[in-house]
Amino acid sequence: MITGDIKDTANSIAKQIRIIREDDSNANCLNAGDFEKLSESEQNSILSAAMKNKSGLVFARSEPKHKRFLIKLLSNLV
Amino acid sequence: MNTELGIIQKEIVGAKAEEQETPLRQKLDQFGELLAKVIGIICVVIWLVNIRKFNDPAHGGFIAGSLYYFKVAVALAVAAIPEGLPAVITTCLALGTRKMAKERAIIRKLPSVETLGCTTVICSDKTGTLTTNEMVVREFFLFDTSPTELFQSEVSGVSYDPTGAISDLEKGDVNKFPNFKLFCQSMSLNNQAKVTLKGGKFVSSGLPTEAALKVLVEKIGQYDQTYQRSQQVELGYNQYITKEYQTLAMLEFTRTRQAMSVLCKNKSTQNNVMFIKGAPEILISRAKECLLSSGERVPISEGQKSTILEKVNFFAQKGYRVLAIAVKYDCGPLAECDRPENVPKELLRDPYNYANFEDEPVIIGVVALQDPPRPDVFCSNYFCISKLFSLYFRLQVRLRNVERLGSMYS
Repeated sequence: MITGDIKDTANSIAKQIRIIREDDSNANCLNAGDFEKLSESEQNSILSAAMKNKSGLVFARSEPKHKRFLIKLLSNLV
Repeated sequence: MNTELGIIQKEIVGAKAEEQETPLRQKLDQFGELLAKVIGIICVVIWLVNIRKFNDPAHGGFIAGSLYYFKVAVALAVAAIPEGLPAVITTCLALGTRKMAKERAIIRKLPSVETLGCTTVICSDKTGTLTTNEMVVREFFLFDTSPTELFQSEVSGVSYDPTGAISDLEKGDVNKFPNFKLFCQSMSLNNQAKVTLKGGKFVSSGLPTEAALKVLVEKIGQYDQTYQRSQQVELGYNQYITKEYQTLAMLEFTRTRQAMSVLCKNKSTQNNVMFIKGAPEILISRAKECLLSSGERVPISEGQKSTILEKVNFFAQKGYRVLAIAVKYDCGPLAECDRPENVPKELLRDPYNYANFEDEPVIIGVVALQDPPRPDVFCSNYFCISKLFSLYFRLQVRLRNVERLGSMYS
């Protein structure tokens, strides 16, 4: 889920619709801006871990450019 | 291309350029390449196998012989190319579409189904996709007698219907505490949404967040003794309460500063004020004062700010979208203008400057809005996965059939 809302709001909605589990730690909810600043290998490891565990991932406070950026990263991983 | 729209367009063009071919096309391309290679090799082999017969007197010389067998190889190649393949594929796809149509799935663009078939990750928007995008204010707080004494209230009602009670508020309280008036004025003036009654249902034009704020103003209006609500006017209290102001300029929302504001002139005092709303963490951290229920402005300390932000976080954890409502009396370079025409345009040209005008706002209150998840979204995670699998399976089978048919036909 990629949203412009703040982390807590995003987290709460994501839990309500079970994108992330109720007992999940907050590691599955990231600020898109913070994520962008991570190194490429760190970004890839977060994304591939989520894909491997089949868990949801929530990006909060994201801007339109982050959507493209994330999809680019993901399609390189698949 | 340097406008905000241009920047978005650039992103779209960039994304389009990256678009990959659909899985079916990729597979067909691979198949075609493989076919070409195999046929090529076979032809060369056929030609070379006959190398000893090049000298056969029937052909009349080595060159003529080699040419003859070359023609044989070319004839083989021409025969081996599956000319019917495109027709077969089109027919297969048409049959597939018909079968899907029978199961009540009509697709305008077939490639989108193919992409669905091999989906591994779904990236979803939130607002409007997973949630209804009909905002409603659920809770709000204003300052009572000190920056730490808060008047907190819950609001009832659904969607944009302006009927709904506000807890802990009695008729006349709105007249007793002047901060309510400013709260309503700030929400109503710094707002471009419209709420209209259409076919018995209240619909909004404009941003859902802003519409929800106007609806809250209407709900507060029920507690104003001086106001008589008439059924004919949809946003009557909004009009009533903003009468004394004239809007001079609008400082649109930008994502970087997470706020928007409007410059207004008070018609009776001729003073300019700015009404601001935006992300609480940003507005509150930049604030120096807050507005008490007495209408008095008092300084707010860093410690008090963090208590308020804790409250904001508490709202956010419930899934609410939180907005701070603020006002600014000292408009700086914008204080002098008295008509929309003589607002210094050069100051407002660059949206990145807007944050400077909104520095040190006076915090009036905080509203918590809810955008509830769509009722049909809850279990669709599981549904989504199972549906995708069956679709994927069917497509895979179909793809293999296409290939097999293609090779049979050649």
